[in-house]
This record gives sequence, structure tokens and C-alpha cells, in this order.
Amino acid sequence: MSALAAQQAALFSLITRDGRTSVNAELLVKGGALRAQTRVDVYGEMYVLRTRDALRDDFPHVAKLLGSARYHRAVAAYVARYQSTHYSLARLGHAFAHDLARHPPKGARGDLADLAALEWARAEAFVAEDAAVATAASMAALGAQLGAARLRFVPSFRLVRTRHDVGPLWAACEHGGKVPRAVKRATKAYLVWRKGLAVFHAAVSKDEAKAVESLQLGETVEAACLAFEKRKDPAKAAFTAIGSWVTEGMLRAP
Amino acid sequence: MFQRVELGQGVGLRGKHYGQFLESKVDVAWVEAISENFMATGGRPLAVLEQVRRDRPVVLHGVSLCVGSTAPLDQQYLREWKALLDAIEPAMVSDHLCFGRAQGRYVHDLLPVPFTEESLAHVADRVKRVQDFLGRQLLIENVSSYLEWKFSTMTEWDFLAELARRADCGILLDVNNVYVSARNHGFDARDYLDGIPVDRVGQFHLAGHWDRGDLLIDTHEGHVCDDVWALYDAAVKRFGKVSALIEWDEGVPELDVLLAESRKAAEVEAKALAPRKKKAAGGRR
Repeated sequence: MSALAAQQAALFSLITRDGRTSVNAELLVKGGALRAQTRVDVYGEMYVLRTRDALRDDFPHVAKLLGSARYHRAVAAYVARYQSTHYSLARLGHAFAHDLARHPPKGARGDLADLAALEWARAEAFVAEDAAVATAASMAALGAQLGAARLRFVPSFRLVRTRHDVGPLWAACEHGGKVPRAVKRATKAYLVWRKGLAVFHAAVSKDEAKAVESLQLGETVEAACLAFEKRKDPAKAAFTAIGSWVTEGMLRAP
Repeated sequence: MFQRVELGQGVGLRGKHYGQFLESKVDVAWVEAISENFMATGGRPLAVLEQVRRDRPVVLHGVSLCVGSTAPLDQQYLREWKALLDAIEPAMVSDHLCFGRAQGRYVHDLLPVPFTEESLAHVADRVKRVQDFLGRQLLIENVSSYLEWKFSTMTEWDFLAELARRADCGILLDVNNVYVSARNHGFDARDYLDGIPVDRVGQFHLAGHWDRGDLLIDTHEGHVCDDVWALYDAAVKRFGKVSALIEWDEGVPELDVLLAESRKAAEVEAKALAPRKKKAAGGRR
């Protein structure tokens, strides 16, 4: 490691307080009117504030439900475990929901991690890359080839699986309604997507979620539609689902 | 050699004003957008940027190149950045003289580099490599700093001037950052201006800061203070007509307030560049 690299690594560690350096700030930084450590601490404090603000943009409802002090502690613990490895601060929250599930803040509601998962999917969908979407005409043009087609979802599309039905909780937080008490456990699946410039989510049945997952794994439409085989009219259920994906702009142009 | 592009006075594109930029003709000469907010993205942010670009020049300003870092250049970053530049065709492209990445991790801050020969050679080489990759010149901006490295052997302005010469890049001179660092480290801001080569400066930044008592903090919040306006006046007198941007990132005001601050920059520039009236010689006729 060059001298320059060692100097940068040491300052970086002092700022993030990651414990990777034993170097004292006075060895790196001029003191003067202020102590060297005080000067380093300016960056350390800004690091904490910046990450806290960035995550609040992506998880506004989680932040509000936790309250300022608990949210601050949860973020500090999170960034200590998951330091940013992406150039964009907007990607910092990629594992926040997972972290909340593994390390729930003291006294936090049990559905918080699931709410975070939904908020993160919506945040990602908001800025996901654009793509040409399938239309009724482009799907019709597939004709007999539809069964063998491997349809792909648009970049903003997400399938979110949760252990609580957090849809009503999200709606109450978003629209200023009465926030329900801790939601009962119930395995749910949500589709999240962007239509035009607006982001939406909707709860879907287990078999529709399974069909979506099959397509995401690269299966053909025919294979994916096996997910509906227990329905009274599997073909109708499959066409209804695919029709809604097309109407909502969830599928890429074939 | 560096080619200056004169655009007049501009403002930063911020989320709060997206609606106004989408729905109406905003009266501003140019707009600066943060590169990383639009890289590998779509949806509303990109739609706004494309709309803004149709109406006026756009300048792309980065915060995560980490050109001073000893960590390898982030290839994904460079690819996504170049794709954005190809799509938007910005009038200027800039980033900071700083490092914010080490051991594969980002701190998302503009950390000052040591002003040493080793550091200078390293940064100049990286700027040249990035410019070669992008196929265009960069403007490198001075950052506000709250600490100075013990190892530094030259002044920041000497470092920046020599970097611009070696890498053949431009300089984005942030007047507020010069003021903040001068106050924090006890040097004369006018010495800084005097040390920067006139023909390398391609853009000015102006912003508000926060005086926390023991240090000035570059918050990009509030109006530009009188001292910074005075320094801007001195900068215009030294460097001439240079595109200038108002940065306002915390407590972002209504667009009208931001535009008024931009008009004030135009007024200060005009006054600084106005030919001085010579006193009539010879007394009474």
C-alpha cells in the first residue's frame, strides 16, 4: 500500500469509525485552533447525518413509525453493518429491510421490516430505467408463439414477499389515516411497478406471484401458467393475470 | 488548452422544482444537475432532465468520481456516467478534487486530498485517464474543508493550478468553498484567487454556508453572504466573464428565490466588469 493509500484509508476509518485503524487523528491532521480529532469529527458527524437523511427519503414511513431517536439508532447500526459500496447514496438502503428483520429496533412493531421492504421496492421503481412496454397489439402479434415466449418485466417491476399484510399500513401512513396496530402475520405478495411517472403496488394471489417468479426466472409463459393449475379455470386465470400485467405496463415489449 | 464555455448565471436542478421545470418555461440561462441522480435511471427524474435539456444548456456535476482516491476508478460508474453524457450532451462536466472512497467503500463526502507531489501525480494521472475515457475535458472543483493534512507540502491553490496544467483540465472555482476553507484554515482567500490561472477557470459556484462558531460548514443553505459576494466580485475582476451557479441544497427555497439569487450574481458580475469611469482630468472648465 502506498503512503497516499495508507493515509486515505486511515482517515476514512476515523471518519466512519469502523475500527480498522489504530492511527490517531493527530498523526494525520493539523491541529491549530481546533484539535485534529475535532476536525475529523466534523466529517464523522456529517457522514451519520447524510446517511440518515438519505434513508429517510427512501423509508419515510418506517422513519416516522420508529420516531426520531430510534430511527437514528437503527440507521447508525445499519451503516455500521452495511457500509456503502455503490457510488450513489440512493442505493444505500438496499439491505435496510433485511437488517431491520435481523436486528429489530427495541420496541419496534413486528411488521416494520416488511413495510421497509415495500418502501424500498417503491423507491427503486421510482428511478428504475425506462423500457418499451408490451401492448395488447404486441402481445396479440405473438399469436401461437405466446406459450413459448419468455416474457420479461420492465426494470421498475418488483415482486415483494412479506410476512405481514402491510398494504393497509402503508396506505394509512401515506394518506394520513389511522395507523393500524401491529398487523397479524400473513404471507403476502405485492407487485410494485411504475406506470408513466407514478409508482404503484398491489397485493396479488399466491399463484399469480408464483407465475411472476417463474417468468422472472426465465421460464416460458406456458410453464409460468402452470402456477394457476389449481384454479377452477386455469386458462382464464392466466389470461386475466397476463392481461393485467400488459394493461398496467409491467411487461417489456416482446 | 482549456476552452471556456460562457453560459451566464444558472441554478441547480433540485427535486422540489421538478414540477415547475416540467410544466413551465423557467427563466434561467442554464441548469446544473447532479450526475449521479440521473445515472442508470429513468422515470420522473430523467424525464425532467430531458425536458430541461430541450429548453436550455445543462451542466452535469458529479460527486462520486473520487478522482483523488487511491481506490481503482469505478468502471461501472464511468460506463454509466458516459452513457448519461452521451444522452444529455452537457455543456460542461465537472467533479471535485477529493476522495470519498477507500477499500471498496464510499463515505459519500468530499474529503480533501493531501497536497503532496505523490498526490498530485496520482490525481493528474486519473483526471487524464477519465478525460480520455469520456473524450472531453473535465472541470475540477475545489472543496470546502475542515481539516488539513499534516503531510501537505504545497498550498491548495498551487496544487489545483498544477493539476489543471498537468491534466489539461479546467477548474470549477467554488467561491464559497474558497471562503469557507480560508476561514477554517486561516489563509487569505485573495491569495487563493491570485494563485489560480485565469485561463483555466470554466465555472464559478456560489452558495450559502453555516457558521457553527469554531468552523464554517459548507451547507449550501441560505443566501450567499456579503463576504462571499465580495469575493465573487474579486473573482470576476480577475477571471472575467465566467458561468456562475447558485447551489442551494438544504432548506431548498421556492424557485423564485433561487432565481433571484442567480440574478443577483448577474448583477454583481455586470458591476464588476463595467468599465470604470475615469475622473475628468484638469478640474473645472
